[in-house]
Amino acid sequence: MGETIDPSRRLWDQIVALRPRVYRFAYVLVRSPDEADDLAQAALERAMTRHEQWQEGTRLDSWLFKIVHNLWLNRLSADNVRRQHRPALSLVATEEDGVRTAESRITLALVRRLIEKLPHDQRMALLLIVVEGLSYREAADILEVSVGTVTSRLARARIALRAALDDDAHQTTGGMIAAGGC
Amino acid sequence: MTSFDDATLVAYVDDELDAEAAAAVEEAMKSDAGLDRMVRALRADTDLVRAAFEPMLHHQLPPLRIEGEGARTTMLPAAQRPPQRTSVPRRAAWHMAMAAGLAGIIFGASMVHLTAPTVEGQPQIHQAVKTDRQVEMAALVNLLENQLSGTTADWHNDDTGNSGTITVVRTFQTAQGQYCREFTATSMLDNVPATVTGIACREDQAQWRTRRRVVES
Repeated sequence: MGETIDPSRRLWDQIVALRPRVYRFAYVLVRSPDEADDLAQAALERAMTRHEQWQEGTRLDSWLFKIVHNLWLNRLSADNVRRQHRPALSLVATEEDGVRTAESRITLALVRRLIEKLPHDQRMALLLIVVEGLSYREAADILEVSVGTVTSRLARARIALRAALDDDAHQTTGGMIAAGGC
Repeated sequence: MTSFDDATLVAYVDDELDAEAAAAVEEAMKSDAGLDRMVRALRADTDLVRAAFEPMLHHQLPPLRIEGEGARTTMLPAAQRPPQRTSVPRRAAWHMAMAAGLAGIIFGASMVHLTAPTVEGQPQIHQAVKTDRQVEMAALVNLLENQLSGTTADWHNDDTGNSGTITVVRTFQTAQGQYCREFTATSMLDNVPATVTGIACREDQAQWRTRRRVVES
């Protein structure tokens, strides 16, 4: 018995391996490192005690994000004040950026500033779909909105980002992508 | 010339369009340099956005407060602990007990099978007069099954007038992969205070078995 690995044990290892991404999602949600860690750990714990609710064949990361989001919603409703005191998001860079070229460092700093300025809902869509690679459907399930809502939030975020980067690069070419089409 | 709205273009870049709609975008890109440029730029933005969020994956995080017993590190306390815990000797004792295997440390007549209520948050219903034990166990199972570590629940038996408080302290996993939770229960039974700490381990489907109970006072 001692050498066999329990399947739930293996699942727990997979869950722990996802902790940095769960923390990141929580951090973008609550914007406080301590609170994000607390939320992420609470989510891992909940996932562990309810591991049989995870359906094999579905994305484990998506399930964990959903748990984080649910816990966050519960906390919000338990403490409405929190909503008004949310600090600004800071996507702090680390030395890891040091290896990039000066030019791309500047671009990255600009991208971070632009993302920080995005409305919260657009940023969450950007994180789940562009960064985490979830489908629109999966992101909509986590955020508890329709696919249409996620689609338009993401489009607004990406187009705003594109326009600002375009401005920055002084690229005034074309006008082909007029907002809303024609 | 075909034109596409922002959402369609973005969905194309994110591989969310069906084959027919994607083919229409690709067809238009062939003759529309501006559209082609926009799609390439959006694709490049994906990399930029990922890079912008990347550093957060390297934040220094505190040790997990939940641990599998297979890990060689010691178990760590939950963020919210009940007050006055003498954590060092207790932790060592738990750790040894876990290493020895849970089956060896069953104390007293505490091998109780507990069944969780089938509906979350809904206590078991007894038609007869409830004993304090029944009320406490129903509260305990609900807490173990549904609440996070650090959560405290009160119970009160209307039939006897007695009451108590239970706190889930932490969660861990045994080497066999079973999930267990440590709890502390205080009660006032006929004006006699009592404090009990114990471990309950989850069998399958909402069944909990208390593995150890230590009466502190």
